Amino acid sequence: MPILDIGTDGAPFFSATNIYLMPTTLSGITLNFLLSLTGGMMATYLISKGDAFWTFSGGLAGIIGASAGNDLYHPLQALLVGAIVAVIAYKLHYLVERRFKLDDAVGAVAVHGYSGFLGVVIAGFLLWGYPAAPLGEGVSPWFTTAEGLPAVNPLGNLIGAVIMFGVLGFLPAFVLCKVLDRFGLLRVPRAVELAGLDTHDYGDAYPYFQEHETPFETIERAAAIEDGVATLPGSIATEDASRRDA
Amino acid sequence: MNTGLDSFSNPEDIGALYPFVGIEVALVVIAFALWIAWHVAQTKEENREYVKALELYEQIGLERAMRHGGGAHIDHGEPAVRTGAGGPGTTGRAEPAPPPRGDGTGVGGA
Repeated sequence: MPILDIGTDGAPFFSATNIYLMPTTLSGITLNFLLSLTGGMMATYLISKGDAFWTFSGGLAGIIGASAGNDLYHPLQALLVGAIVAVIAYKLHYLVERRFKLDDAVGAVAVHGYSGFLGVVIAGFLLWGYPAAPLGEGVSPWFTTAEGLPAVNPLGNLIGAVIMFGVLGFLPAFVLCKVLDRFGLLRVPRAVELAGLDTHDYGDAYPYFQEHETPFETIERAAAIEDGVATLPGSIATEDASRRDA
Repeated sequence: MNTGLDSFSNPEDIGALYPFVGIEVALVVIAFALWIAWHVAQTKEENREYVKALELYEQIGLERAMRHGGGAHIDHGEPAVRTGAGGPGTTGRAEPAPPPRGDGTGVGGA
């Protein structure tokens, strides 16, 4: 945590700074983290009807969602932003499962991806006009403060969020997954996936919970029946290749 | 457009630095209302859970539910146990009977 002199020559003023070297208050950030955690947990508890998994995940989503501006938000703003972002992430999680049939088993994409993206975008609106960073050499910012420093603005934050989550997050992961898929290393055979990775060795470890499946497992099972599940032992690559060709 | 602070040049003069200074009262009112509403909703949700628990215990008997770990060992033909607290997105459908334990391990059941 850099502590810099942000005062003048005559009146030095030492302050903790954030990663952009803007002055900040550590105790304020800490309180905001706690309140955004609280907001996220309370909101997702309600929306998931008391589901423990989503209550805890929602807390994390709240922290991540408010983090983009937690050094400057009012504590109650942090609480509300955390709650709103966590609810949207929860809704998006199930929307993506239903519409695109993409599984996010531990909710990581929802908690880190959707919440992080939304948090940066929301901060662009709430902190509109705040000094964003010191002026770099040879840099001509689009939006500036009265003093000529780069200013926080919705467009900049949206572009930043797209770069961070789309270009640096989604794109490399997508390319890597394509490469793994090409070599048959991305997925296990579908029958093994449905039964569980170690069921053939250990049996059903949780026999009493076999009916407690998530909505996505129902979708997955239906799709497997439609496609015809490969049940014979064989290489993963063969099955993946045949799925690609189909 | 500016929602609050636009300079850190005079740190000694900076007071409240959060955006939209002046809406503190509104924020407190909103937060208080949500806080109360949340507790009302939470209490209702918890009471629904207890009603379901009581229905179960009336069906199978409290004695038996306690002895067998909450109804996991209900045999075929007996009243189904319903629960909605199994994890994310659980369906709350009837729980199946346990597998036979012929090999003594209690695993797999076959």
